[in-house]
Amino acid sequence: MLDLVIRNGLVCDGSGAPGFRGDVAVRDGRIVAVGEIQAEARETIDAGGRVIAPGFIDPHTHYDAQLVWDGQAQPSLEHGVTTVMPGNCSLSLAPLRAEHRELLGATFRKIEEMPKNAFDAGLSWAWESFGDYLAAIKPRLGVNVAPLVGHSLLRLWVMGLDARERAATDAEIAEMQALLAECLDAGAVGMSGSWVDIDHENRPVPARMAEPAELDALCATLGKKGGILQMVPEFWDADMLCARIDLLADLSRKHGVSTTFSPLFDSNASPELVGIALDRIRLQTAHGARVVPQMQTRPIDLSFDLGAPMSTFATLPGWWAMTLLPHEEKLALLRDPERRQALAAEMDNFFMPIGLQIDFADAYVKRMGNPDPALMGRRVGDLAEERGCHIAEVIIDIALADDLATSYGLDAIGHNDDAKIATMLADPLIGIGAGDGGAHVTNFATYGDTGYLFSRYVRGFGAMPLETAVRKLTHDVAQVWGLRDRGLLRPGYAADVVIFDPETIDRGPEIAVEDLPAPGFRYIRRASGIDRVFVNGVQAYSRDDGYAPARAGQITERQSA
Amino acid sequence: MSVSLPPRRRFIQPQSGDDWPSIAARVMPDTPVEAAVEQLKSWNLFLVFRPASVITPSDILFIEPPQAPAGA
Repeated sequence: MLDLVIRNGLVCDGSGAPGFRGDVAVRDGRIVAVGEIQAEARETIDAGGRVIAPGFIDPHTHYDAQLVWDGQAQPSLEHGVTTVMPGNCSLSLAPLRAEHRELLGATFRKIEEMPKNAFDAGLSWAWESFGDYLAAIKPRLGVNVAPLVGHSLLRLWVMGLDARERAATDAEIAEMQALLAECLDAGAVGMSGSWVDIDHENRPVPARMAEPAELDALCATLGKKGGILQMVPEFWDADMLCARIDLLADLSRKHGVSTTFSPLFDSNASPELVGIALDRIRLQTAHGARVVPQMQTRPIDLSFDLGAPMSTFATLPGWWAMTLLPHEEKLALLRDPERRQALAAEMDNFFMPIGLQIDFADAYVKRMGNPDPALMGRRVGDLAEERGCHIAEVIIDIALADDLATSYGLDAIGHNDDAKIATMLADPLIGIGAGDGGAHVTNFATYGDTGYLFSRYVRGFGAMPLETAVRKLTHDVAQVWGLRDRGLLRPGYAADVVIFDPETIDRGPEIAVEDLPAPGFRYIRRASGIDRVFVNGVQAYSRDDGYAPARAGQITERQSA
Repeated sequence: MSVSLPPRRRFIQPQSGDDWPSIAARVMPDTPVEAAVEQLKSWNLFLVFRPASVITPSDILFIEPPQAPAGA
């Protein structure tokens, strides 16, 4: 007797092969047959008119903290995502000694833009080792987790606070290699690093203090164990990005590792960058390297408020310093005429050096603590004209009247030339990723890229066949990240399955929800067109019943483990 | 597999203990150090103007100017 048969759907098995009308059978959490199935099952689902596909795999998330209080990684699961990779960008939450929690927490919250109260309230910190972190999240998992271990964490563990200051000695590098091997044995699928990120004190993250020999040694360990390397390069500059692609290619060839970097996005600020990077990757791929760029499907939208430090203000020192102040001091500063003038002058010289095109005049009032219908949705530049004042004063005055709860939106500030992006996403060299689930919670909704790929680029632009889009979200990721038995609908594979309507699958509008473990909100998107999601053969989400109480998620295994 | 492809723009990574003068002396030995440092800095403004103006061990430094854009 089978546990489950999903009948009569369009089976897109993740390989990219043409879909076919058929059934999928599941027993003991595994797919046991695909095709025409006669055997009886305890549960039968009619998927007529629907696609049956492997569960989607999200290779770039920062769910490390959220998984401690929400093992379903909501709302990723309802978007068809059955496996998430946390631990990107050199930052995981383990291995971490107790004395470094505050430092790492501040770094993590600054880079990934998470509210301190939620972070503090939600984290039990019942671990130090990587294995103990996985043991802490495992009982609650409703999704599969394929974690990366952060290079910055390895350095902190081995070198203590010196990790922020200097290169490692040979002995320390050897100790890091042993620690990395231990993390890989405990369940990590690879290591993440960064050539870019700066911490809460505007210092390079520890990973950036590593000499090339250190990264080389750690890649040797990854090569032996079959782990992947994820990096954040200087993605906004074609010359620097190509140099980093060359370094990744050298590491890939030398140690036999797959490498990936994120993000790669298009922008009018540097319209030729993606093409240049792809040419370089094509060249390096032809010479035996494996370097996979991750590209998000959605345009870049951004929200900001004056209540918390946000990367939007990273190049505005006065604004950045203001957001760091305690609430009452912040209010006093924002009311001070001289300081307001200084902030306005600073905004006049604003430059965002990472390829985004931000004009604060185009910001609009997106969310308010006490919504004022006369202001909601209004453009800051228009309000400034009406009031005869500087845009900075509009931003400040509205926020002051709302006790700094006002959130401003900046839409489509990069990666928004859909026709161009359609071609890029279809390129076989480009991976779908860089979603950032679990991070930047009040800055933008990092969810629904899966649905958006189908709605905008399969249905809208016809950029790729349905089967290719499924393959890019499933088998391609599983193969590059070396996930065992994931990403295909094949006998013996884990029964991670999503059933969706190809005509309606989409991401919903960005909404604010208050589901953090402390007062506050985050932006999310609800899914549409997803009927059911199964994780290891167990229904985890359905359109009709929502999230199921089942906790069938697993820590995934590497092919080479 | 060892492969050496010409880079899009030639670069190096700093060695242990490097600073601008030591890098300049190594990569531009025929140029007076002070002039070489100024030249190097002009090719690596992202290092000069970063908030924490230090060279980290994982940085890249270009040792030639950017190519002129196609058609320029």
